[in-house]
Amino acid sequence: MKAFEFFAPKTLAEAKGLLNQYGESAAILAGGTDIVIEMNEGHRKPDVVIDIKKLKDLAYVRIEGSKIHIGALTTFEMISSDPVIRERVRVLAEAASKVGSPQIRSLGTIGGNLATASVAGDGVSAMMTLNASVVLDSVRGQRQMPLAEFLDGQGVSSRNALLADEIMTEVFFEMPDNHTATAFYKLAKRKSLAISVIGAGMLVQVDGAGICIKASMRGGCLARYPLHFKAAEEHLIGNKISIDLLEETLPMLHDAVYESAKSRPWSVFYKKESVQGVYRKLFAAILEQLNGKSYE
Amino acid sequence: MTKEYSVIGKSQVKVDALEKVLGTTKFAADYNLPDMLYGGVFRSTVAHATINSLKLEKAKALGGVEAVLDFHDIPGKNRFGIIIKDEPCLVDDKIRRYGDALAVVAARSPEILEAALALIEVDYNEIEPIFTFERALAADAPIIHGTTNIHQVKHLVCGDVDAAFERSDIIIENTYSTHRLSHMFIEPDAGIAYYDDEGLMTVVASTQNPHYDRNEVASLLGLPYNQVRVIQAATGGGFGGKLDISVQCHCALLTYHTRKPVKIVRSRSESTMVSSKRHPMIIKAKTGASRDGMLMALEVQMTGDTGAYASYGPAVITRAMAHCTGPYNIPNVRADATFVYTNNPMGGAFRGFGVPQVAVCHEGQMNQLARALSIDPIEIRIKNAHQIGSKLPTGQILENSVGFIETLEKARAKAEDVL
Amino acid sequence: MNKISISLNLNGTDRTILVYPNRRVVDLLREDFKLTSVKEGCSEGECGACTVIFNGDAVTTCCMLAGQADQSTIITLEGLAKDGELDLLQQCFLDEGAVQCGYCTPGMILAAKALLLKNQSPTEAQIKLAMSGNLCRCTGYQKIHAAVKSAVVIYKDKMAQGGESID
Ligand SMILES: Cc1cc2nc3c(=O)[nH]c(=O)nc-3n(C[C@H](O)[C@H](O)[C@H](O)COP(=O)(O)OP(=O)(O)OC[C@H]3O[C@@H](n4cnc5c(N)ncnc54)[C@H](O)[C@@H]3O)c2cc1C
Repeated sequence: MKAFEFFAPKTLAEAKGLLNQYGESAAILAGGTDIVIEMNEGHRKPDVVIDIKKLKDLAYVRIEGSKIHIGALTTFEMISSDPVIRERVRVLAEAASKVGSPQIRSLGTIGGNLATASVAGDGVSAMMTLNASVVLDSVRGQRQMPLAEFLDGQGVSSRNALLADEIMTEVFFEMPDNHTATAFYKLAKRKSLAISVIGAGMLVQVDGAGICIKASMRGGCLARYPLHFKAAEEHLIGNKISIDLLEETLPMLHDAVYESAKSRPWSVFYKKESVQGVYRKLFAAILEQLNGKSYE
Repeated sequence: MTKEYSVIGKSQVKVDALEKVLGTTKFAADYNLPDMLYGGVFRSTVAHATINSLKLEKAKALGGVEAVLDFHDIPGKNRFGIIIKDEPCLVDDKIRRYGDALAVVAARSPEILEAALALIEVDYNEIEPIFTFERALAADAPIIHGTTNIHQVKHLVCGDVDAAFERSDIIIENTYSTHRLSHMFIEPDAGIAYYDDEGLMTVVASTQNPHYDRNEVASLLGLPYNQVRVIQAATGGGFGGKLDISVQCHCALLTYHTRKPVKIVRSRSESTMVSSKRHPMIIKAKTGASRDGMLMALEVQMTGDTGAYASYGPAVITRAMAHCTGPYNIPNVRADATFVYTNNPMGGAFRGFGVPQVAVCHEGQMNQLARALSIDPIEIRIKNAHQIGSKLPTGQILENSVGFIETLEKARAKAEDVL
Repeated sequence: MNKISISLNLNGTDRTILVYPNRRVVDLLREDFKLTSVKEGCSEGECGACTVIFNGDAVTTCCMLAGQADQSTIITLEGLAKDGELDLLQQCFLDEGAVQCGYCTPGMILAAKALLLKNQSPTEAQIKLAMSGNLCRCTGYQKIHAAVKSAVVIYKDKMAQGGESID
């Protein structure tokens, strides 16, 4: 591994100071499960490494008003075992519990997952389903933006909007209410230590009469960033949620995947079929949650 | 009356298990000796090429580097291989696969080693790489070794195949292809070489084949066999993939020149890149049978890719041929097998030596035959199964212990239990 | 490159060491502390051979820079047997024939230990989940799971008879 200077700041202010000082030559280290491997294989060669794992204040799951805030350094283990997330945000609990292995979930952080912004990032798919926003901080001050904008952004790398002196401190989203069901399904070669083949999320909000008033469907590993199933969402909104209604969207999912895959290698074409199987699983989970809830 | 044995029939704790649960077992990478150097290999990044120039000077000049060697520094023979000596320790004439070893380095720390390897420069003269069986046989294809890309051709004939097909009520024809597989033993290859107290060149390595390694190291260094000792360290899996030379010769060569202990530990990617693989094969099969499901004739044509070097290819082709009927009685057999050299990773020994590849074929044929004749797939197998006294197409008579029918029946009972 | 100082509690003893930062925790343990029970198998977190218990959790040390070990508590397999007496898990791995080539064994035992430190009566599903980050290429997983299950049963019996806690 190439030589570098190592810093482990104890406060956020110190971390931002270091980032301001070293800029592009520096790399942030959180859990290390992406970057240490890249460095060991010589794919990344920073001159300075800033280990932020000692910033314990950035590891939390907090409810503020109608929103859930998750610190960038919160590990997948913390997320998947958090009672509020497990109870209220199944899409995230499920995605977090399927990342890598117990070892990787104990190290890997949500901030690292969103910053790496892998095609197969399970945290990315879940957070996109939740329509989350991220908070970026630097000596110049804080800014926030929707995750979609973050992923589209051109920062110091083409992966995301992070500028050289910025650190992600938090991700937050609207807390699903009593009328909202969410679910995530990971299709992969095996249950553990497998990169997603499809990592899909779904959110459905209904009114007192069971009419869908909000829908979010995002499929990871189907495009550079989680594929947005817009037509399917629109088909649900304004209608009463039932298995029949949900299944009517299957051809739309098929078509969306076909459109996204048609310019890519043949090897991914089977996903236009498998996406339907994946969403059938999600429909079952969503209906189960909605039926178990009172709409009063 | 059953006799009471002291060991047979009882659970035994493995002799080496205690150290393994304590973590004190020494695998090759766990050896550390005073003055030890860290060895590494500079490898080709193209699959087929001659070398215009290999520049070692910068690496040699780096502080903490004690040796940078290429093929000129080999005192003995620069070819090894379990059956055919066609693989160089360090490339002399040309590169035949991605990852061929061009130079070796010994340094005082892993970090210096990495830096030194990065200072070596090579200039290639690329040759068209051959990655497919068909291209290997094409008239205008470049030749990888010697005068032909055909590694081996073998034939097996038994009985009157054509007449038997004439008499067959049904003929099933299919083509099967199997892919290249990596053993993925969990311990990447590693070893350490040193001169022992009596001046004996000693190599401790993760290996399945210490006696063979000893001969190869001796031949490389031009030493008599009794001047070389190879010790198998605890070995973290091999499955056939640690039968070939991995780090043994490179370590020994560096120790020969530096007189110091040299340890080489391959990374996972290096290990996967250059260790042997299961031979990918394409098998065309034609099976003839009677209406009641008795096998009458088999014709097989198999082609295999042995990659850049022979390794165990000749053994694999032989075993694949000999086993092409599977555990079934087929009185008339004609099998032709051709293995070629390509610039792919080297095919070698891998649990079963070609037998799993042909099993894909003979079991596929049996299933199709059963379906076509509406016979139960287990029944048709039992009907044709080898028993004591059966004669194989190679002429071998199975004289004792043929447990196939018993196995099938037990498997059926178990399957019925769970299904 | 400046060396960095790392202080940690390693197998029950406080240690401080100066190292170059471009080593990973697996290198720190194997090369600097000579704790060679920590095995490197894949170098990318996939095989679990380099697993240790880090601040109470099983982690793969090939994905961690040495600096991440500062101010931590680490247990390697060398830290399990006390005064020559095997840890219950080590004994069960022996008795159940859960050891073949032995390369995955340290990581397997430590993954199981990390589980038992948190949950002393895990279900079979919890055992499988806790061991799901460790690959074995020889034995298959039956005997390894059997060893952990047997440790749980023996431990429960011991507790019922008023024995001491698992660590
Ligand atoms: C064996 C294995 C299995 C895996 N399986 C999965 C899986 O199933 N699903 C999945 O989604 N991922 C998987 N991953 C990938 C990885 O674990 C996750 O992406 C993880 O969330 C990365 O987080 P980290 O804290 O380890 O990031 P690090 O490796 O520390 O950092 C990753 C990147 O993010 C940047 N970064 C980190 N934190 C911040 C911050 N707060 N602000 C700004 N930049 C930051 C770093 O500079 C770096 O570029 C796997 C990885 C391994 C090794």
